[in-house]
Amino acid sequence: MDKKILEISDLKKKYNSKFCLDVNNLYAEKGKILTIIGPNGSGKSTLIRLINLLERPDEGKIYFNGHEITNGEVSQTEVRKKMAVVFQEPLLFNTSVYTNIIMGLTIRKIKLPRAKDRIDYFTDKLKITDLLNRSTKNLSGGEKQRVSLARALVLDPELLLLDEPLANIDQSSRESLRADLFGVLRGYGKSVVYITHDRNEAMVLADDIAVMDRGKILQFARKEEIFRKPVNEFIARFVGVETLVDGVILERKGNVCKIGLVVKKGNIEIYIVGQWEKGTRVTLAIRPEDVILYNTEISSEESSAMNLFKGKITEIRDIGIFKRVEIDCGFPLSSFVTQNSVNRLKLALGKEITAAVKASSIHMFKR
Amino acid sequence: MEIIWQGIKQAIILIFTGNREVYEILFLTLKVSGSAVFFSMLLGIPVGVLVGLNKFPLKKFIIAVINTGMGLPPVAAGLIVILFIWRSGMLGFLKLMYTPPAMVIAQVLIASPIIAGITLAAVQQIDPKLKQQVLSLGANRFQVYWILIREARLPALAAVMAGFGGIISEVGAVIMVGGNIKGETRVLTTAIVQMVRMGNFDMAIALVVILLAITFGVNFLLTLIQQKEGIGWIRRF
Amino acid sequence: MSKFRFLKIFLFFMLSVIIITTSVFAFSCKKKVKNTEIILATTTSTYDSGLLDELIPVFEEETTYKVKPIAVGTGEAIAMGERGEADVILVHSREEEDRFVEEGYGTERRDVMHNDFVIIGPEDDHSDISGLTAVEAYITISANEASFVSRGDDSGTNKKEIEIWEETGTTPQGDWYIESGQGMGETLRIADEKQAYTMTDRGTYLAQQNNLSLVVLVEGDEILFNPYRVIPVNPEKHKDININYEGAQAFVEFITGEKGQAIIKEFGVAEYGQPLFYPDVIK
Repeated sequence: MDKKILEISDLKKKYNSKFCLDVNNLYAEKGKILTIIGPNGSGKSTLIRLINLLERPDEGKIYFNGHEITNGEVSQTEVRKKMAVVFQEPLLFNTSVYTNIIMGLTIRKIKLPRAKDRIDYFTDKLKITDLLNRSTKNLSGGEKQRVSLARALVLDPELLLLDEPLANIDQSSRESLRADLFGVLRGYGKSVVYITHDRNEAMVLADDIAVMDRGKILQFARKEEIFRKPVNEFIARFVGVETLVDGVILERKGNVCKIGLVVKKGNIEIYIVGQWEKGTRVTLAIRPEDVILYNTEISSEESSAMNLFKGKITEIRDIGIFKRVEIDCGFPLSSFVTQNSVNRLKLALGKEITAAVKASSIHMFKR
Repeated sequence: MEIIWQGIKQAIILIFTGNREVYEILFLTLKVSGSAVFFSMLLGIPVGVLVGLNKFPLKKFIIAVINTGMGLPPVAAGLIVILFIWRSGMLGFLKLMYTPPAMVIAQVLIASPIIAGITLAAVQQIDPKLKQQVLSLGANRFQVYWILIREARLPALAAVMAGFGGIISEVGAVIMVGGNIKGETRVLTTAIVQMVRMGNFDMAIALVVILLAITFGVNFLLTLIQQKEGIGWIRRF
Repeated sequence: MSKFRFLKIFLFFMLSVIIITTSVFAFSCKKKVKNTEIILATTTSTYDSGLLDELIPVFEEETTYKVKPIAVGTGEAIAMGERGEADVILVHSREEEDRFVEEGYGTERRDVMHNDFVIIGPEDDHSDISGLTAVEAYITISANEASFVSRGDDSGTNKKEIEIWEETGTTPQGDWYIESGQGMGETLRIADEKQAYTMTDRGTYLAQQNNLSLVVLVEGDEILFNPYRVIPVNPEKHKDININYEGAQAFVEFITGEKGQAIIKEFGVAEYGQPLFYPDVIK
């Protein structure tokens, strides 16, 4: 049995005057959530429409369950009946909520009693049980999208395609919808392709991530790998690396490279685990959660970290459960710390501080 | 003024005492215009939906033809029908001239472009993404049309009523093809013309009252629907 | 490719709907194919007076025929006969009738009845035509440029009016000469509104008298004699069309026969105190 429910190879499709979708290799595994992440206009929605056979590719093939579906021999309708799509806009019909939810079942001629458990389960999970008899005209944006999600989920599709289902929802109802949707998807156990431009959503949900920009897949890997080892600056920035600095490999000893940073004043050297040759020009990515702060005035504990930087705090900002601390240590460096640490280390603007980063937690990629 | 009050009084008496001629004319009118609007629906709604939802060569041309048809003067429709159905015409052997079916055909010619045109505009108003949504739910071509017609059911209903209102109050075409034969092809409008010609104003006013009641009823319903976006039974449909 | 396939489906659909609709109609009319239907093209004056509503039911009861009276002007009724769109015509315009039969469109002319035309006008009769002959009256009206409403629709009445104008040697024109282009009933009403002179057949005038303020000013002149004749359409002229010649002949026999003539004689007496038409065969 093939593990891949969906596989795309060498797919090409011109999707606006500027860009051409060009996906060499992308697949979704059974029972896993593949998240495709990228900025607006990167071709994500076009990709969904191609998978759902709502558009024809210019070139290339899409396989579903090991069978090619783009050769025109299989019935488009039959293929679509194995999938379900939720679009950015809810796209409801002008009838009652209940009629909307069972619309797909009616179209697919699935007997309602057979789907009753699913209808009850998903309407409950999405908190729309009370709305069933209402007309869709008077629903809020968030409620509409809940109905649209339920309509897709009750179909029990082999592959669920979600095209930025939260993007068009206003801020106030987005958080609760996100929580309810992710609650459903966590225990879902079915194959999902989830499209978003929000890296936090990807971080929470995904098993695999594909990063897209301008019609191309820049990186496709397991979630951890994308966040740990972005292959270029675009992805690094996109997955939330705060600190990016350019440097050159000065020497290499075994697995560890010594890198000279390109900064305005003085020489800063950083040690990184890596195996590239001396002289390679690289960009370093340092995630704020990997930066540990010490106040040497309070304690002089030794650190196992190979890289220690001294610098002044230039900014402390609230970002939810964490504080983000900006330090100028010849280059700008960010760190996430808890409020507790801020108090304990007596962090304040202008304060001298030591930042430590392990050589193994810095990621570098060639410039 | 005297004659008007007299007429209205007589009209009420004629209506409520069940004057046979008045009711004969009323039923024939409803039968003719009712079946005309039924056939126009059968023709107009699918045409409107098919043209509105698909891309094909000559689409703009066909839309222009439909729009022209919407403004087709009834007498032109009457003349076109006459040219086909009179004895020496192509369909003369069917003996349709001066019969109710001839009136139905002429009215279909008037009403179906109206219904097609309004339906067409209505389905073009539907978000094209909704069609994609229907497709992605697994609908085949027929299901797509059916669901989108239902989505445009209010304007489609308005179209049907506009068509009905148009033909029930039309006189030029039906008098041409129907001949205004008493008891056979005499409908409300042609009867009114005839009664006025014969100086029978009581009857004429009675018939006008009935005609006004019907057109008012249709328009009232239409307004209700447009204002309320569907009264109960329509939403459930 | 697929685009054209759609167009084909579309056209096929349209065609099938049209064919189904037509065949439904054809079927629903099938039972009438037995040729019992007679189309009678006649003038608005006979029709609007209500005479035909009396005559036709009796005829239909006596025979198996079904009469469809189509009320048009004499000119159009004759044209319908020429095209074979009518089986029998009942009109009042001697010259036209003669031409119609001589050219072979009709098989025979049969006198049916007559009434007369009258010239009517406002009660004060400001041009003072009362008691004149028709020709004198027209000359006076024309000289005074008094408002006069003409049918102007090529009907029998209109033809008669033109005939009288020709006798006067003048051609009526100017703002005072109004052509209504409508039937006798509407023309009477227009004349009444404008307090103008006009010429009408007596039958229509009597039927409308209650709604009019105009009065009869000129009558009894020989030229105002208004005979109606019935002419069956010649089936030989329209071999490709199924003309109901037998039905037409039956109708002719009926309307010139005892029963028809009696109905004509009685018609209107009860309501107006005088007949609207005088039978010509059995007086």
